[in-house]
Amino acid sequence: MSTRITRRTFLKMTATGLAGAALAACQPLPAPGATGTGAPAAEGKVVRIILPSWATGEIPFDTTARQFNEANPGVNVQIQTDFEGWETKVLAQISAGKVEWSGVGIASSASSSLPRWILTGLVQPLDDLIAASKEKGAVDMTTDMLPTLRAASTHDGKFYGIPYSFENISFNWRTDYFDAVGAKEAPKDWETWLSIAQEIKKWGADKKIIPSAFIEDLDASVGSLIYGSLDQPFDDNMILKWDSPEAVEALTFYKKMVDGELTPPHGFDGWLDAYYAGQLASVQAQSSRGVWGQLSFGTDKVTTSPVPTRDGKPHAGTPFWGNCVAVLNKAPNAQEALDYFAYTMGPQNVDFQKTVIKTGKTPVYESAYKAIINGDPQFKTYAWMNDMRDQVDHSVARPFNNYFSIQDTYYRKYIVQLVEPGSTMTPEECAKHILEDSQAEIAKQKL
Amino acid sequence: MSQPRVERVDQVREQGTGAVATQFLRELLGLRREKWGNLWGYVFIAPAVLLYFVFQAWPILRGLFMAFSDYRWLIPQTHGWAGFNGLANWVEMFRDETFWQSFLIAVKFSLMFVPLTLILSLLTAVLISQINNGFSAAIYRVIAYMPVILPISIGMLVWVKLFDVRFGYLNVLLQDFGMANPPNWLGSPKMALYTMVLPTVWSKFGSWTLLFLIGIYNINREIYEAARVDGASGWRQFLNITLPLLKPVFTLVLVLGSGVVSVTEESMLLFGGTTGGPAESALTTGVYLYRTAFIHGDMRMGYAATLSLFLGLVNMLITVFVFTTLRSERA
Amino acid sequence: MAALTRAFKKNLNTNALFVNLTLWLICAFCLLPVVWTISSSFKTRQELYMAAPVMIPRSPTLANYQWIMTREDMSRLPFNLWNSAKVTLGSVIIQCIIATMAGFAFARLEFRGRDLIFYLLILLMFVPRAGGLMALYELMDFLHLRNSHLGLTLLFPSAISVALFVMRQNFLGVPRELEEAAIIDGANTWQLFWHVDVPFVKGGIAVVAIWEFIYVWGEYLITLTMLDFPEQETVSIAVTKLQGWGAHFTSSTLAGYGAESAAYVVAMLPVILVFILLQRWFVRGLSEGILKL
Repeated sequence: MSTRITRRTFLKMTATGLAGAALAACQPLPAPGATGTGAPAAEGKVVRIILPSWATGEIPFDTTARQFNEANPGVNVQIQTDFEGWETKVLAQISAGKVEWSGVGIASSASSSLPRWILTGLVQPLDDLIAASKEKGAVDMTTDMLPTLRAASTHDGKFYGIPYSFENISFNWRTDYFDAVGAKEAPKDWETWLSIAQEIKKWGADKKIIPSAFIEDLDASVGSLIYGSLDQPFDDNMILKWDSPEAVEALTFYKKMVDGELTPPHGFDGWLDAYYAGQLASVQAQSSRGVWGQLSFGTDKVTTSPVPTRDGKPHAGTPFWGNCVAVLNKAPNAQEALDYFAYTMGPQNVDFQKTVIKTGKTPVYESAYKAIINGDPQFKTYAWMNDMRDQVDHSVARPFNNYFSIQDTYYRKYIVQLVEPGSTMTPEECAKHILEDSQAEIAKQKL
Repeated sequence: MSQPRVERVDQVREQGTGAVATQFLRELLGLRREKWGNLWGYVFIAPAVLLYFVFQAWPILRGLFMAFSDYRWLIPQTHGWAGFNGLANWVEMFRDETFWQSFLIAVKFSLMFVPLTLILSLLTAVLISQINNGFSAAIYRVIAYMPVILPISIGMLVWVKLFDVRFGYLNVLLQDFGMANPPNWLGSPKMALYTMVLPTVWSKFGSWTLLFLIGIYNINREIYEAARVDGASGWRQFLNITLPLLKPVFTLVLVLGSGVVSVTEESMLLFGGTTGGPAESALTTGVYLYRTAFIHGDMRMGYAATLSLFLGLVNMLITVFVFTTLRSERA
Repeated sequence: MAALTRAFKKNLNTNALFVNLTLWLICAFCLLPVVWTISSSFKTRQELYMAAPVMIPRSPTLANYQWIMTREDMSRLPFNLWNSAKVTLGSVIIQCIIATMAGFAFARLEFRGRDLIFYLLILLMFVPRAGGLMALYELMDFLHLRNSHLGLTLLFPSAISVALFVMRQNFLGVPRELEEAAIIDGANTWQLFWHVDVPFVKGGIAVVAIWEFIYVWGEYLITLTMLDFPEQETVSIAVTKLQGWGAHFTSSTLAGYGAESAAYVVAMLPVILVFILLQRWFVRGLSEGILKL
């Protein structure tokens, strides 16, 4: 009988096992996402801030948090990396009335994310917090900020998102390649663009140089072209005027570029590698892509200019957006969160502004242009940012809804069909498909 | 200790699912009459059974219920058992154009993928079995099987590098052979689905090859000797001996691999996310349902479960069909 | 008769040529992407972007590897490798333990309901896993095991079927006489298991361990769905999110194409090593596991 155990022993063992398993399941999990701000947890007023990893990798939010904590004893700012689904989690906490985090970033103003955050009640207005703040930069923040960017973060008269930089779609070009075909300046209108592109294609044929490229998104490609053709690119329902002759013309121009093999297949396939290989003469993209090029080829080889337009006049400018941080609704220590943002990103923090400029993102404060870009000889190569500021000054902000991202989905689907070799789709049909599918999807939206 | 009972389990298993189900019921009815026996047995199986039922069996059952509910992850009111909505998901599915489009793409893909993999793996297995040198046969086996053991993400990403329009080796080779405009492998909506077949076959055919090879190695050499004496050619030997004797392996391979393949991971990796390739030309049902459940909107897990169950049922029918066909042919 | 054999031999030779040629082609197909990646990982920017790239790098460099392993701000590869190692080793250990114990019980012990449970395990394999991933998401969230490596190390070994069959088959092969002798000597069930049976099935355990290692190291979809935080990602997820373009402006000689290739090579190295060194166990695993399903 030695191989047998009694039923009682068996039950006892089972019970112990289950209890062990239950204990293991309940054991507290390690706090996710803490990327070492160095400060010990749960000491004084804890201010947790969620940021995407690209932003913390680019901008030293960690370092300023450490400095801020030293300057303000009793406050403990911690930077965490964001994670998929965090919005849902925070919204659930807000409705339950107990929120763990205080600040959050990065939302794009004049795009879909900041409007979504405001409309879903994720974030709170900042005006009172700014007024109550003792930080030096807090008051300057709103007065010194470029007016279009302040407006883009404002909804119903209240200010929600503090931008630390802005980006707009621009024309990033290789001055040496353009120079080789006698173009000293960036083209102003589509016709010039097309003829320079053809010259460059001929000149660079043996080196397989592509004259121009777009990036895939609607705002960076045909969206920008439509902006540059109309003074008011949006219709009464706040959808791009796809059925206007100008929009069709923009699609036609795009197709002409692809058909003439002046761009990669579809206008974008593999553009980044081609760019880095020195096989791309220009790309219509965010201005920071121009700085990527400067860092690879030298500041004298690449520069950034406004996007060429249909008739050379600026019209509605180009799509732009501010990279914003915000304070969560019902956030604990909301004032400290705002203080930290003002301390870090306010115009008084010149080092921070310099870091931003070096990443190729354009600063949002007038003073940064005066004192750094036009005042500091070391920043002479960033003079092109002045053009971007002027561009954004007269650009039309995208409407306050998420329709643009819906149109982006359908645009990506149909643009490929339009420019595919042998395609029988006309630009009119393409515009019609994008418009109809977007309208159908918008009709389904509850927001 | 009665040994025969353990062996009976294996005999029942070999008779197929029906026999297992019948025997399962028989055991269930006779459970009360069974002796408690060695209670250590429960201790030994407890960890495995516990983990299995929590993490494997429960999701299967829960998934079946989910397919009949409007379960949206972001809307707490639909959680738990509250979202039950009868057949509404199924009605929606039959009207959902994107779904049928994706199903068609998956079917088209499977019709290319399954035969190609079958032919290539059988060919490779037969060829390797012809190699008498043990060492070189082992090398061939290792190389043919290597794509199978690579992480799926790496396997697909190395193909992405290879397919690159400008800097990928494939197009470099084609240009060397004089092709002026090599294809835009992953970028063109006309090519994308066909392009996807290549890496998928590559990553799967090794395991079928090895199964066939084991089957061939298990065939008695003397049968071939006898056939050779009778003057049967290599081709005849293959048709009359190898193929019929490989039937169990065929059945296994087809049961495991046939059906509508959803290639979710492959599409997500080759095209970067759930876009479904250029102009959604490679949006298979798997990608579409992953997108519905985890990426878009309210995270509609209920509806995604419906699509998934539909796919599962179709594949079950195909499996049963394959199984009965191959079986009846033997009789 | 002699003429006939000669003709046969000649036929055999052309056959052999055909066989080897075709196999070389198939091998080229299998190796091409991997070899191209390895080759790219040793190339500088200049060589990668040559007008006509070549397979064998002319001036090979290790700089891509150095970049991908040391630039913490651009690549988290070392951390990802560590995450993968944790999850993989944890899963392997757990699966080996539970599969060995259960395999022993199903092969050697008599208790009420044993066959019933076994049949149920087989039957469940045939139920379509509809909504499996969605239900798993809900379950893991409920158990607070999402965003947790512990969750993954419990989840992966729970796919027990193949490992269980392998171990059961191995235990069935242990000679009965040994056990009976041990029982006469007064050994209890645990001693029987640990001292008599387990030493006999070490081969089976190795098979289970290797298969689980390969599976977990390469697992993609479930890991992707269960982990939200970049710092938790395993290599098989991380390689899809590499920001290789960083190589362009942190170095004047490297390119994203090369840096990413280097990361792929690092990530696949462990499985390739395990596979080549232990390849005979694979064949055994196939014939004992999958073929027996």
